[in-house]
Amino acid sequence: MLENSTFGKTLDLLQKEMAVSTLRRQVISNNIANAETPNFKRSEVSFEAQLNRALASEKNSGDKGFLTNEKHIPFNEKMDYRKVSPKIVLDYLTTAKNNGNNVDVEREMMEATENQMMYELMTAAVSHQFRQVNIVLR
Amino acid sequence: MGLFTTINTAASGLTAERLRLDVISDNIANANTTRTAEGGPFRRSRVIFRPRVDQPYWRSPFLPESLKNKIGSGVKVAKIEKDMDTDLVLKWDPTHPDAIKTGPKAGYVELPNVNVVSEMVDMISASRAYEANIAIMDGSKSMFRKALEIGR
Amino acid sequence: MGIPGINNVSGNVVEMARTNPAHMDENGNTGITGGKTEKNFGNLVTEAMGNVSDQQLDADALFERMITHPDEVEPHDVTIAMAKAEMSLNMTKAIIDRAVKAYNEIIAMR
Repeated sequence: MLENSTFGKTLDLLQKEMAVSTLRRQVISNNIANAETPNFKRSEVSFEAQLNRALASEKNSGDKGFLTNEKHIPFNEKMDYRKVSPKIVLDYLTTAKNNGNNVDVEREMMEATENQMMYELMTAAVSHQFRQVNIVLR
Repeated sequence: MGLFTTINTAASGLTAERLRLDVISDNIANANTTRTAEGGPFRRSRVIFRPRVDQPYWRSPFLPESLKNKIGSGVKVAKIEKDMDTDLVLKWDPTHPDAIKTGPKAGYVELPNVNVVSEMVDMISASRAYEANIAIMDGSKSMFRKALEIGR
Repeated sequence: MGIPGINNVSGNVVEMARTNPAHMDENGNTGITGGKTEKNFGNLVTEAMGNVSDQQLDADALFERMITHPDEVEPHDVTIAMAKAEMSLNMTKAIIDRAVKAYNEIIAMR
């Protein structure tokens, strides 16, 4: 119920973002645990930029490109935000220390704190969503 | 649950750093040991860290599903080995009971290849990594508690 | 005019003939519309009750999954499913209450 309304869509977005947040925390935790391992390169998760693109494409007022052959690449297509999934990307471009390891512990700690704060904010947002409806139904 | 995996990974980091700290303190304690059971002076030990999921990490983000980079699950100590690469320190002291008697190095005492300053630096970085792992665990616990408050 | 595909001409405006109902006409409407289901009073209550069981079953299935495969379930998934089930139960209770009240009021009009 309420799947196609803004309530359902917001809830779905929040839930997806929370799942990605958990995945991101795993990756950060792995980076920190391997902060002294020689030749280890840090990884990160990319998701929000792709999600933003998918959501922006829904507001796109242009029409879908007409394909003369199904193998052609489609353009101006509305992307479904439900199909966007997080990607774990290896960061091999930052400068490495002498032992080949490019993990910066301070930066990872900053990312971890940000991650925790975002997750807690999202739980507050989800609670708010449910409270709104429950107040009306009282 | 993803948060449990995070805590396990952080715990592996804690174990590894603790072990490293033990090895460092052993090195420092034996910084002047000229005679060991296997003969010769004490040689410093060092730990070799490896990631727990030791796989090739692919650089490109565009990969077939089976080659996707797996999420690592922390660090493990592959082995603790004696450092044979750095040279022993030689000190001139012919009256020392462990002085070398014959050969080109006669009269010199071989001291361990432990550089106390670099051991202290290692110790500081090990304890900093230890604290970072603890902070990750605390954060994960707090996130879990907050998730439980959703319906309340 | 005997030109095929041209229906009405008024001034310089030509109404376009559609060869495929999926094409848009001049107002931007396509010929394909979603099917409309009939909603009546009884359906409202039955539909609401059906939805509630779905949410409860989802929550129950998630609980079971959480116990057997803890690695695949996240804590926020579980609490969100719980809150959804609670909310839809609240909604059903509200709908049924109002429906029964309205029915009673109508019957009492005699």
